[in-house]
Amino acid sequence: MPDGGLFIPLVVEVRRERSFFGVPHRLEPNLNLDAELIAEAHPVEPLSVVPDTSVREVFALMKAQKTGSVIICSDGKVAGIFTERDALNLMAQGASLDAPISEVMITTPATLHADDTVGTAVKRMSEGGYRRLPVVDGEGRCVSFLKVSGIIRYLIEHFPQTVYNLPPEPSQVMQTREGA
Amino acid sequence: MSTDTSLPVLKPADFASDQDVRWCPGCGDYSILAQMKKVLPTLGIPREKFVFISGIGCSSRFPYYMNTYGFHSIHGRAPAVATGVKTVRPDLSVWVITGDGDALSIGGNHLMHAIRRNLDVNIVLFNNRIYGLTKGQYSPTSPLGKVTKSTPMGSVDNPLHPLSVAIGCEATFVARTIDVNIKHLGSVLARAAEHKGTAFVEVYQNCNIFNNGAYDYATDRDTKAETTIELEHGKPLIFGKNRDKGIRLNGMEPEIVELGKGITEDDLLFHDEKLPEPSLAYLLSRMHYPQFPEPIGVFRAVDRPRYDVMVNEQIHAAIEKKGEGQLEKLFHAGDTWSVDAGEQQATELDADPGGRTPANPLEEAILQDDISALSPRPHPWVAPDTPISQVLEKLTESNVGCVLVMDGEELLGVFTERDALMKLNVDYAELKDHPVSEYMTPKPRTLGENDKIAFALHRMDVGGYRHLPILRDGKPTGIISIRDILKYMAQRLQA
Ligand code: SF4
Repeated sequence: MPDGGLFIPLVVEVRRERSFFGVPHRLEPNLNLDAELIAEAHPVEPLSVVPDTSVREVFALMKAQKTGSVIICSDGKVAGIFTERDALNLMAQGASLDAPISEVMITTPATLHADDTVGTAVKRMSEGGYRRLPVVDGEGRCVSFLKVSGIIRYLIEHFPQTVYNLPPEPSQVMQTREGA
Repeated sequence: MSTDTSLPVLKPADFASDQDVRWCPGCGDYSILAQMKKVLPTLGIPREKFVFISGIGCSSRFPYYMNTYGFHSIHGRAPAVATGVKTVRPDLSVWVITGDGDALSIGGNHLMHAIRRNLDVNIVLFNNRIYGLTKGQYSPTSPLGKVTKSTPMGSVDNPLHPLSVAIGCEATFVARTIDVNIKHLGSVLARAAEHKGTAFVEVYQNCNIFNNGAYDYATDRDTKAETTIELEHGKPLIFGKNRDKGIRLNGMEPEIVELGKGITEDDLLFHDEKLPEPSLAYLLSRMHYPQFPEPIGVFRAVDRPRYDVMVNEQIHAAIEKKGEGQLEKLFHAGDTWSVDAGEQQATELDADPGGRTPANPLEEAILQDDISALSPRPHPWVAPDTPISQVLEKLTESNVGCVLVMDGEELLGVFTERDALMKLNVDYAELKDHPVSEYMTPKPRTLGENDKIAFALHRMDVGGYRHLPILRDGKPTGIISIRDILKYMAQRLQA
């Protein structure tokens, strides 16, 4: 398969989204992951700390921000990543919390580039088994975080009725139409 | 409404029934009854063409006292009964007699729809601002602070203003009058009867037993000229004993001004009941004593197509085209189906949701594939009393993000790496001997292995879950994670 081969042949139906004012603002063929950039897949603001932040502080920060990962930046550039998985390992080892985060972070993490397509992101994440990837710009600065949940949402947005209009329990699916 | 002048001339007494009138002596209802009997003979309509329909309440006894057809119907439902009567018999003069409780509490919805349809009926609301029949509880028109049997410390319910409600429902005829202002009352009832479409009339009615004097300000000889203002089409709004005060518009707000001193009648607000937009009528309906004199008379009288006419036109057109219908045939026709109670199809999701064709292969796949296609991995589990330290070890050793907490075969909860970070955090060293049951996420949402993958997507995206325990015959067989979903979708995308 050629590079960027995640191309789904165009389906006849073209989804026409209307903006609030009734002007069509987007004509979107179905699922063309190689044309759309990762900005479409709901990247989130990264939580970043400097390398000498203590593990203790990072733990507290992650809890306070309810986030499962932090980016460690040095001179504005990505130096490493620390996730809840790494936190779990530290807890299991009974490690000290006073070390600087730079000692326990994952250095040279896999990243995405802001110009990458959603297709590239899907590939990198599913092949590498990542749940989130930092997105960097041309200068190596972390601009956002792409999470697997953002990609899932991006995909669902191509057929929202199919997912969002499901009943809360599968057993609730009616065999025949019911008014109420 | 048909007129027949060849009939003998009727007198008010011809409309009196043989029933004893059971209202309390001194009740305002008597005055309204008397005026109604006076007005009806002037309309040129034979007696058998009148129908009075009421709901429940003191005022709703009205039909008994009229020697016409009548229906003392269900609480709040007089407008519904009237809709039926008028639609089937458009030749009748239909009157709805109701009260503030019957029309605005119990029958609020029925009133609203009768008015918006512009059915050709006359609705007369006797507003005494109290529940009389049930002996003195506050009503939807009782003012704030009103002490009644059910509001011993004063009502805290913001009252409804019947005319504002009617105007909001797009009424084509709206008027207000007062029980003891009999000339005015008679003329307003006559105007209502003439109107083609829903005529809504509020009558200020004194309940001398439970709310005596509620309208004294508007009926007292000494004050009524200052507290009420009679609306006349095309005339300026002038009031006061000496007719020296008027209402002027200041921007969007009405204000009281004194005539003379440079202010002439031309500066005043002129009443126009025919305005296409109801804004003026609404503004007038918002003028309340004591800030303003309260307008009485016809606020609004405009023409609009009528429900009873349009429905009958449609019926005639349909009969002309298709012949007389048969209810039995209609009942068994077309789009019906039966639901077989015995056959509960638990997990079959229609692959064609809401009549849509799946837009792409991925959508089709998530609707057709069972969760078992994700091959849920058998998962480590722990007992509820397992200490945290052992649970953390298990998570790291088995390289998973989530363990099941099981009591025998029963799934009690899950404990995830997220739980570790969010709940244990920097205190994990002190908490390591605590049982996992204290920190697990109890009663997790689960899915069956034969449920469609679309449901897993729903749970994860809408519910924000990253792990879902999967059951077979009610027992956990494994877990799927959001990464499994991504892998599955990536494979389908590459296929
Ligand atoms: S309770 Fe009030 S409204 Fe009812 S009949 Fe008596 S006076 Fe009239």
